[in-house]
Amino acid sequence: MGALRAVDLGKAYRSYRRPIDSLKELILRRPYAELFWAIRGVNLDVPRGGSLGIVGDNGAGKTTLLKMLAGASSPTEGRVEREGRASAILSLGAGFHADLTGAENIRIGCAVLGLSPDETAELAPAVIEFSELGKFIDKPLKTYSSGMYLRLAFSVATAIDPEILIVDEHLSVGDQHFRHKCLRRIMVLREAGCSLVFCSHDMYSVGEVCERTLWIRDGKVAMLGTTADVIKEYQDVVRLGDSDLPPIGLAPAASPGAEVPTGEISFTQIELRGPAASGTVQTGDSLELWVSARVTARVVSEGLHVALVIVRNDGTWCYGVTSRDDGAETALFRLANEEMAVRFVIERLPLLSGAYSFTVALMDNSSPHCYDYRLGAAPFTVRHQSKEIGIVRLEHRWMGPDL
Amino acid sequence: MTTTRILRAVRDWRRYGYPLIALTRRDLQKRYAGSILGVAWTVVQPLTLIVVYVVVFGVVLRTDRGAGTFTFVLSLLCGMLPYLAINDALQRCSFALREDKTLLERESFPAPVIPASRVVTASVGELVGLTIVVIMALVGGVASPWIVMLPVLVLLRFALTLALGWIVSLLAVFISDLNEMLSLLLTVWLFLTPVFYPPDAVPHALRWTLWVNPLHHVASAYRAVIMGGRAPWPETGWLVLDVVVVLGCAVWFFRNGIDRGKDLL
Repeated sequence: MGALRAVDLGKAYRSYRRPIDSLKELILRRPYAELFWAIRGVNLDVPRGGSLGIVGDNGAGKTTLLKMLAGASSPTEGRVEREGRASAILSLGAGFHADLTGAENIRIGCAVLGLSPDETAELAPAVIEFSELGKFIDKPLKTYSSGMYLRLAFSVATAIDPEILIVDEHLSVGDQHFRHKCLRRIMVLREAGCSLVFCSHDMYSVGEVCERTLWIRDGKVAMLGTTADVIKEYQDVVRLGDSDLPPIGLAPAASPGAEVPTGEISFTQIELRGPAASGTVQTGDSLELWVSARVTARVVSEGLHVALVIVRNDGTWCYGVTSRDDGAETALFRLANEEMAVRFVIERLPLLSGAYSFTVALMDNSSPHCYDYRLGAAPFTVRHQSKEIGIVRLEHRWMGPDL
Repeated sequence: MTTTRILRAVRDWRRYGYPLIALTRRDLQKRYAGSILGVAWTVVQPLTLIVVYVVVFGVVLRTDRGAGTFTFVLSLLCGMLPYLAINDALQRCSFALREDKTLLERESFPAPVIPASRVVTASVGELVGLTIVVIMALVGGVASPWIVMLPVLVLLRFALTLALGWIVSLLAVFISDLNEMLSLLLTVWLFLTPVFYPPDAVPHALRWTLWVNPLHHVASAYRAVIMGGRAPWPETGWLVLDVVVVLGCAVWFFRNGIDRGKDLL
């Protein structure tokens, strides 16, 4: 009992030029619609007592999926298997009638879930108490605020001890107190074996509540895996969307690194080497960047240096430094007559999960002249296993109060 | 096998029962809440109607063709009361799914309950009106023992309206100007049915239209048991046939179309 499964699930909204075309299609059995796939190809399995988070941008198809999982809308293809009583909070006001009072809506909700009048009468006081709606329980729903709607919806949905609970992101409209109460109730239900599907834009809540997470992107499953992994991948993509324009004064270069540009003095190779050469690195591991450039003897004698910045994919400049400021002697970088190379090494990378790249510039020592630069060179992904959040791991310790 | 079927029927009744009661009550409240007379309107409305008919048709127009004002008014009401119930029910049904669409967003909410509640509400006026008519018939001495059949006939009228209500409520989702069309069609229907005129006023060439007109079957059956002193036959047979056919269409249409309708709401 209490398991939820979706097999090749998909929903296409038929868009008709006029509503009556849908009727014609039903009766004449001829297609009149243009299909629009809101979501397609979803396979998932939530075992009894398991929990699944659903993340994704607005319009990705999350709500359509939740509706199908809850049975509120019929799938166009594939199927949903529910074992046990399912209860859902899909949108505020769904399943309720604005003209009826809170108490009447509770009774309708219970009746629809298959409770007898006696069972409903037995259950109703507890539901009303949990909702904390007080005297508003006998007022029509149209007089309610959205927070009050949530109280009612959540109280009814969890009243019958559901074996499957599906919650779309609405807890945020509740106040701190009720939100806390809801989350505690969810935890209690889960311990009792209730399966949970939880959709939220609040990554912290998803991380706390869900074991596994499904990321939906443009109507398709982008990733399904453990919550920590999925959230990190998802945030990488979200940050990319947030990224600012390239820094002023530097036009975007076409490519990351490796190719040889036409200038007389230019980078020949910018790439990761050592253990991080694959482009994936764990926080705390070492990171090594190889930079080589074609130069002329004259330029070298005048003096040049390498400047670089580690940029997260949302445009955040995480750390930047030049070889000159660090006092590194460019003369040592000579590789061959017309070529120089340098390795930039971070022994223990403090960056936390995210997608990063290097902005690298070859600068003249005596003037702000830039011989060559690359944006987005040597991209790499960082992952960390702990629950830390932010950009970097800062050295720290926790101390007792002894003075 | 049979046991599970019975169990399912009982469970379904639970699922349908309270929502139907609550929606019907809401409908009645909405109709009369805030009005001065409140629920008394359910009596005042048919009573006023009866008085108006007596005055207009019995006293002013004298269209009774020699049958006597009393008989004419009874006959008129036997047609008018079920017509008004059907008219009211279908007009309301044409808005019902749109009005209550939030309820449909719950997966397990039984959609047929929504139009059904409108059909129940619309029947209140008829029940009150028929009570008055039955009292008139008893007092006027035209009633016969066949009058005990009336509840069965009302039930058949209800079933017919329910079936039409399911069709209309869902059609209205697909056809946005159905509301306009509907009031026109209902008016035409009223005048095509012998309500204001006796059935034998219909020309022979058009008699067959009466036998495909369920409203005529209802009116004719009501007249038979209330004032005709005869068994409501063959009207009841026709009526059962009407109900079976229309209900069959309605169930097929509602069952297959409701998901499409939900997508459009």
